[in-house]
Amino acid sequence: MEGLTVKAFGMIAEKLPEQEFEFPKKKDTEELLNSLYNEYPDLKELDFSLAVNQQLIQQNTSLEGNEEIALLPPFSGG
Amino acid sequence: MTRKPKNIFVDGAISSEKIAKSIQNHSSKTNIGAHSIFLGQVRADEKDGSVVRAIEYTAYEEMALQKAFEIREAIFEKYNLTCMHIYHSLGEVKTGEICLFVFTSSKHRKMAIDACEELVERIKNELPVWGKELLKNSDENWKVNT
Repeated sequence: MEGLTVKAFGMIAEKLPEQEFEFPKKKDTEELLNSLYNEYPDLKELDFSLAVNQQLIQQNTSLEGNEEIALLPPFSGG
Repeated sequence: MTRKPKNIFVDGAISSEKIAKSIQNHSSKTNIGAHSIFLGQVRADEKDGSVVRAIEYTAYEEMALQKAFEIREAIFEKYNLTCMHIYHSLGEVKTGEICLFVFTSSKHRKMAIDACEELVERIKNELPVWGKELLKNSDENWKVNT
């Protein structure tokens, strides 16, 4: 199956209609972010990091198309 | 010996019985000379004219368990420890209750204390866990770690 799975956490999850959803394949995380911003403009106001298959990324990362993407606001455990 | 990710999450508050039992469980390991324990407790902060009554914790569990495992391995590598335990609450924890329990044991105190401190810092900075403060006036506020 082709397509990204996007999971949102913390305050980001409250700003999106669903905590977990499928999203069309994108070539890299920059393209994905731009599409997400178009679809959900509220995201532009929020501070979050991206994880691709549970690894935090620091820069634009190419995507195969079936990754699990997580939108992670600043951690506040403990 | 290869170790695998262990579940660190506890549903709700961490009870004092669990902490006492965890200490008791080490009495047979007589090469231990020092335990260091950190307990995080939910604080009744004042927020926007109200007061925190509880924190509700959520996590990206798969990633958090993998990350906790990596941190655990790194700390075992760096310090000469006999054992190490991490428990973090998920769900609602009321003020005055315990939400984080970190426990390191070693032959001597310095290793146990230093490892415990580094472990707590790394847990707070690196685990994908979020706390939402639930206020007495029914408002909610996403916690920010300082």
